[in-house]
Amino acid sequence: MTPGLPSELSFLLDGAPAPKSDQAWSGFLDRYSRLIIFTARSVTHDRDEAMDAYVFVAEALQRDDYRTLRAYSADGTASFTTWLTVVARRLSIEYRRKRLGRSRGDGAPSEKLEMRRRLAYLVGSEIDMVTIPSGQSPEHDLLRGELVDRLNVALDRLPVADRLLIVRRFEDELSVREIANLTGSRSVYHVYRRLNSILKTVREDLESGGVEGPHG
Amino acid sequence: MTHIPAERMSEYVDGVLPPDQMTLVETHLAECLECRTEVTEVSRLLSMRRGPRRRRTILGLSAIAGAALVILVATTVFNESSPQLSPERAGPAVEQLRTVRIASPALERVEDRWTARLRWESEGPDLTYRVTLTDGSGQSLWTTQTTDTAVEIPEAVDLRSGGVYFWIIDVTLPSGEAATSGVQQLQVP
Repeated sequence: MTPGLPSELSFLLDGAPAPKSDQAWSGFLDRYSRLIIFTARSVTHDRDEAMDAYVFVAEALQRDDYRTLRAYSADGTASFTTWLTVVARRLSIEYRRKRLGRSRGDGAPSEKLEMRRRLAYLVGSEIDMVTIPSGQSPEHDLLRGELVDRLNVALDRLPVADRLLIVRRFEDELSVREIANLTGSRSVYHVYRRLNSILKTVREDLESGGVEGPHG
Repeated sequence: MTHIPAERMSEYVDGVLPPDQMTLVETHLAECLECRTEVTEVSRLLSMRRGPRRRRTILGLSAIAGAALVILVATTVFNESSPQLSPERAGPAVEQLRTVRIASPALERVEDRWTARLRWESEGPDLTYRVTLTDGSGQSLWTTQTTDTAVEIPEAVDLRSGGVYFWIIDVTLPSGEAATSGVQQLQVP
């Protein structure tokens, strides 16, 4: 038995011949099927499709003498449950894409550019800087474009952890509580304070570059 | 785009990613919606599978005083809306939770001071709600109990222009279950 691995996984990967290998695989599925189905269900939202996805995931894990499962390293610090959830989710998505085709929004350059613009708009309105003028005149378009560019520069200058917080809040629209859970923050207050501090930094960056606030 | 390998992703979700990997992973996450979604979804799935955590329910002044405030509720959903920041959707049901639904506070400038009326939906008849208001650091400024579903912040509490405050509504239901609005932010213009 390999130390550091869950016992069902260790028995499975130890390479015992049939019928022990069949028993080991049954034992592994007894322990982890619920996790895999639960994860598949989160992707498919349909019970029948979730069961099909489960079969797909199980076959993928078993393939080539459990090659995917052997990729889990007992030396790593992540728990096997977390790792298996990640892998099962990715395989379920792969199953879904094979059935339904790849969805839009998979990171094409034009979409990324649009997302950067949208993030800049959202942050700009949040910090109450110069209102991006509405209307279709070339002058308005130019002003809007300049402000978006400056906002993007200001956002790019942020430390990566701060930028990620802004993206989670404004682009992904996560609640402060969700962000606190994801980042291990002590409380939602800490997240609020950090957000306010980051927005203040962005505002000051813009003001130092000559962009006026509503009272400037 | 090359996404975060499963092992790195797992370490990030578990909060055990080696420091030398953190910047790389966060840099990728800031640019990759797919990986960010994976982090959120996997975290949510793991939380749901672990079930409700046994955490103390702390209501009222003692829970909110002090800068290092942590509000822990045993069986409550936080439905956090933020008048200052964009309206947000409710977080995932990490535990079996009960929410006090709030309405946007009514802020008004009267002569030289700001007044605010906090409002929420009724959770049932004959209930007493505890209302707590804190400053931006979590220090309690005012608390009251009411059977109504609205209160006006008294004149004695000086709401400053540009100030950030937090408020929370707690109630104990006849079943003994606790319900809370979760922490709400109040931004004074």
